[in-house]
Amino acid sequence: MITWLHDWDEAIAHAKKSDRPVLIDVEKEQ
Amino acid sequence: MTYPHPAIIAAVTTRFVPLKLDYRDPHVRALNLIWLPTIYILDKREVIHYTSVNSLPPEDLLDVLDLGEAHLRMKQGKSDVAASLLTAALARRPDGPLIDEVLYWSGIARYFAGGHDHAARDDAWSDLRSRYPESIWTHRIPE
Repeated sequence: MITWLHDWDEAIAHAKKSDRPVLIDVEKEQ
Repeated sequence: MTYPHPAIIAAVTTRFVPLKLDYRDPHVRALNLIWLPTIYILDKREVIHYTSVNSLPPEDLLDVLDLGEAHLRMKQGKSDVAASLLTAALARRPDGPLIDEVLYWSGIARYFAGGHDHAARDDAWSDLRSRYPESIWTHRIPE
């Protein structure tokens, strides 16, 4: 299971710490 | 989408920071969204390196993940990492629908990884030209 973040700033902060790419999935969320 | 697939879960959880956004999120405006769903691969400076529109079968999405990360790594000066990703993609599924694109960028990644290695680039591009003569990626190879 993938644990998705939902906050842009939090994802970018994770990317800066880990040097991982950010995979963004834009959908129409319920 | 195709995220329940075990190989997708493994790739995303070990190599990416997964972020799911609603199309109304204010940050989406900067992504120039046209269609839902769309996935983007960004770096930590918030620069987009790859975009893929609509859902894909898991096997294709794996290739997209490799292509996207390879683009990002090449621009970070890590062409050796990019070349490894694309070589693995070619080995995983040598005849997938994105293989012409993977072959094209594999040639470029290997060129930079080898310190302007013309032979490595031409090896990949020769394979591309012979297997996919009508591909747009073959048309992009200089005569």
